[in-house]
Amino acid sequence: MSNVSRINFTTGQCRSNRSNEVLRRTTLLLFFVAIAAQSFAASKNLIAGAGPLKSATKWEGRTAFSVIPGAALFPVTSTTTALYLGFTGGSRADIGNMVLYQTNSRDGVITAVMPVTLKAVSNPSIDLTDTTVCPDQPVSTTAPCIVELDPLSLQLAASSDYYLAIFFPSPDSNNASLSLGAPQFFGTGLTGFMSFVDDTKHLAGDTLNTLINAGTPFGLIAVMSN
Amino acid sequence: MRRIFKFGWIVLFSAVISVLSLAQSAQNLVAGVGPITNSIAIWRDTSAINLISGNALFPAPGNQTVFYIGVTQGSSVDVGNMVVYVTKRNNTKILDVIPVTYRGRTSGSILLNVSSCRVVPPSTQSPCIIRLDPLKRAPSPIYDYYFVMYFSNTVNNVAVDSASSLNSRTIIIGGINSGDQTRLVPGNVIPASFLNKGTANFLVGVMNN
Repeated sequence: MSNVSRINFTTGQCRSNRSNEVLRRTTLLLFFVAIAAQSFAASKNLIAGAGPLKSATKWEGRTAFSVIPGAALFPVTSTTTALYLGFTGGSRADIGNMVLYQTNSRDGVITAVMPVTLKAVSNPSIDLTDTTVCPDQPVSTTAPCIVELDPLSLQLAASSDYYLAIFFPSPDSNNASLSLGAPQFFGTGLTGFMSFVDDTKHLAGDTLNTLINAGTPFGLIAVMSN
Repeated sequence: MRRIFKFGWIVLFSAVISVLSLAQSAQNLVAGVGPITNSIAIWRDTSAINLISGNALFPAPGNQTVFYIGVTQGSSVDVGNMVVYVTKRNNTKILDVIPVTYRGRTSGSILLNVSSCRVVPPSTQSPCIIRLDPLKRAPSPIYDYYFVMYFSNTVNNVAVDSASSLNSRTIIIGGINSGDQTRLVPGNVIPASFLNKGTANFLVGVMNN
């Protein structure tokens, strides 16, 4: 046996076979890794979003708040967070500013403020009649326009709450006839409220009024990993 | 070198085994129905609609979808047809229609006997939970799925009672419509009347196995 080993070890043929074996196994390993990576890369919900929608109307001069409670997050780890808005009526949404406030879970004190953008702009004007933006026309509760905001490099934590605040300026006739999607039925983990001023200018350390929660998100219909 | 590779293969093999075992254990795809009541009786010539909303799907692994239906009364359920309508999420235009089967058939009688039910006769305390044949696809968060069961116009279905949620927070949304609502085709729109009850009927769980 020892002779055989020695003979094999001293021949070039043996080294060649071993190289092939290493290559073959490495390829297999890479294949498994690729498959695993692909399955992890699939977009996943980070929280139960909104099912069938109803409309919340007239957003001129108002701030729409959608709350992502840390306590309602799914046990998914994602280093990016994608926010999806649903528009259910109107021809154009003129957004003044968008931010995401972070607080400790069930606490109103803002610990961080993150800018939120659409195509790198924090005050976009979204043409809801443009079929490249909203393929299903006209926009309605049964054919909402779903817009993915720029993904945030943010890993949501169960120990924090997150408040998406979107301000719609006034006077603005587009915003006066704008409708945001809100859940028609219970079941979503999202919640929210609205205010009648620009509430997107708060700083870390400020306190949000969390006592006016309407129990429904306004505009935010899904939060996903990408 | 050989020992390193040997060790690597053992680790990889273990990982594959653990992934497989994870995939084989059944996991919920949505929050299903907890405690059950029997809110609706007499299912003759009636359709039960249940919406599984893509936005509310759990991030469970797997490549199939299994529906579990619950019956709380009756001796036989005469199913006329079962389908799943697929739409874009939050949208009502049907993109695809998938047949749903039980033991290979989309229609037929399900006898509520000891071969199908844990306890006979079924009741709200001991409902008969029936596992339909798995759909060979995993649900996607960017689509909605309307599972529709039509109950034939038979005497048996007069005595059938559906399992429904007793104040539990399922996120399956349901409705009841008269007649056969399983004949819509791609391009049709889900009728507004479909989700007229709010909570699920018959469908008590959606799992990956």
